Amino acid sequence: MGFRILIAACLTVLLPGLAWGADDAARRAQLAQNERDAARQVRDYDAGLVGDYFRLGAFITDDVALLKGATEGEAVVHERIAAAIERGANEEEVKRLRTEQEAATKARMMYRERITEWRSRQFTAAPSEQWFQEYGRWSRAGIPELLAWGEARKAAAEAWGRVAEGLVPGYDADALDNLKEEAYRLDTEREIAEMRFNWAREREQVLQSDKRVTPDGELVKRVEELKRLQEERIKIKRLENERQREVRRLDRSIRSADAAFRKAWESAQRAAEERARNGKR
Amino acid sequence: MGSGERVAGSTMRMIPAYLVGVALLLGAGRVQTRDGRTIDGEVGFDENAVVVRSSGATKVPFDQVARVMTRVAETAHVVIGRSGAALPEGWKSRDIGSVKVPGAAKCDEQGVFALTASGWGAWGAKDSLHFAYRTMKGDGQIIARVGKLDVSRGPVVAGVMMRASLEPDAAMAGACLYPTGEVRLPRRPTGSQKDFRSGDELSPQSWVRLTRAGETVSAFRSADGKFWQLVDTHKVSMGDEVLVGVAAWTTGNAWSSSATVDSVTIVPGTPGLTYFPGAGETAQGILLRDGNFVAARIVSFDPAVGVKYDRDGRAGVYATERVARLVFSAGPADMAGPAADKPGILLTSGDFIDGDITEIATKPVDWPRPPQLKATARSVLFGAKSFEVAKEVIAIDFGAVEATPAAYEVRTGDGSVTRAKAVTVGTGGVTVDGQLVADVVEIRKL
Repeated sequence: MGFRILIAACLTVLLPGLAWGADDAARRAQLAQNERDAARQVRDYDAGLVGDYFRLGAFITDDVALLKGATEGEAVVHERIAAAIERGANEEEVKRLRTEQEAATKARMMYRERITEWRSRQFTAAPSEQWFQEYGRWSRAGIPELLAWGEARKAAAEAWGRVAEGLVPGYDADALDNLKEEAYRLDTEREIAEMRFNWAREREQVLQSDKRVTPDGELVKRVEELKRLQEERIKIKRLENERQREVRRLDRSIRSADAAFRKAWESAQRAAEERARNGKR
Repeated sequence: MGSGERVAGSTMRMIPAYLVGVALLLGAGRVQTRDGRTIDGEVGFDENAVVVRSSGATKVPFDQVARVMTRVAETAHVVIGRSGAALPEGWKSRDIGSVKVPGAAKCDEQGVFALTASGWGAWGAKDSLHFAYRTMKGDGQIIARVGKLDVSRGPVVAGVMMRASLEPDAAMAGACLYPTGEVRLPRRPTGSQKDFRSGDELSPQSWVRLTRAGETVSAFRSADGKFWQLVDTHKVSMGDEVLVGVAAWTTGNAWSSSATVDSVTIVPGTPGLTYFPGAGETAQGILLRDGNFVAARIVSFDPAVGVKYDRDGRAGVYATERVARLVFSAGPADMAGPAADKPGILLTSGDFIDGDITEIATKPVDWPRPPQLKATARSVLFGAKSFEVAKEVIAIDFGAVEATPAAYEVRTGDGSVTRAKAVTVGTGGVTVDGQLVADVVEIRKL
């Protein structure tokens, strides 16, 4: 469906000039219909998305309202473009509306990203009392680790929530990146807390499976060795996040450099066109 | 009113306070006279008179006393708001722990608390919630009705809570209504809890009650605020002074929701299994057919032997035909005595199970709890049914009371009530039918 919207958008961006030039009423009607189709598809698509993410419940109540507003805002601009095309508006007016529609699309995509990407992560990280009780019931031995895991889940969920809420119109990209990095770090800590809980539970299950066994020197030594290796694994887990952070930083730099490159290319192209026009004179 | 001034319409006299020194002073109490007066103050006994000392001292001839109480417990405190103030006098509110949206609490003049809150709840290592509270010393209980959980913006939990402090990791206990309609007992130190139940398993219960007796906290639920069902009970050590109040939280700390809680009542003193407004404190014991009540711990019942009891470490037995009712907790006023010729078990749920009592004995219960006292009734309709006394039973009835004639009822500190033909008071104490009785807390003229 996204692809169809893209095609409709491309057609309406690229073809108006041709349509106007040909003064073709049927062609204009087709273009206007394309815009109305785009408006309908935008509305349908986001309604479907809300259904798909219904499971996120109260985490997205506010976002759904914002997304609906943005969706309707974009759909209305599509309909205004359709009306403008039908009444034979000039190219400048359609271009102005198209700019407005692109801004509306950006806002809508931002709220979609809030839900599909960051709220989704927040929801996954968020613990519940029921979860805590269920794990607590069959893992009494790992209660300190379970308490730590619960707090790590809360911290990660809150961090992802801050990322989601950082996505507002005109957001500061650097500030948002900082929020994301903090969330990735806390999410890694959440995973580490889960690893620690599982290891503690498994160790204790073995140690407590036979009350006749008393922890002698060899057993204590083996447990210490196990714990040492597990801590080594945790160090690597943190290093993995550091490495991923570096990858994300590079990707952002690449995107930024790519944008600068394209901007430079457009400048160069405009200069070449200018020279060509001047040469013809 | 000066000393020695005559009290209008009676022969009571205000007397110089130094003269009261001869009286046996017993403590904060109350005297009700036969002409309908109530005098509060420090109560003592003088020769054939009761002395009440507050700012001055009042001497009431004993033959004019309708009722004297030498120990008046702090009464239940029903919470209502003050005009122009957000919260009742002595109350504060604040967020506990990290909350997404700052919460708020206010209480109107009808006693309705409106709470808005965010937070993860009262579980795990640290709480995050909103709490409106005052302080309470020692044992006591708090009762409330959760009027509304507004779940339009997301799930919200509300109820009553006691906390050792405002720190997020403080020891605490609550009796809280969850969006599914379930009442649960959140607590810290944490530990294994009962399974969460789905909404369709539950009948509507909007009343919650949290009791504290020493380190034992218990959560109760009720549909009507009269008959209570025990939800859960645990040990939570919180120190002598606790913060007691109403609490609310959302379940995901990502949104804010609201709830209303009304009919908030704080009752100081050691709580029983039940609570009926005005019923007072009821000791466990045996109501005899002659109308006397013997405070005692019920040990067992066997139809062939009778009721075995323990009173201050002394064991005893009452034959079945002498027993009208075994009382385990306060009951409603309209069920104060057993119905004639209708044996059975009065439950905390308000149900009365008809049937002959076949046994009361200590029996195994669900692991890991130690064996508990259980009562069994057998009826033609249902066969034999057993009930755990400490969790479900208000009273067990054997037969009707046929009270012996008496002029007074005398209640002692342990909760025993003796019907007497003659009572005299003096500086030496209280004499009941010729015998000196210690620790008298109430004398009532019948």
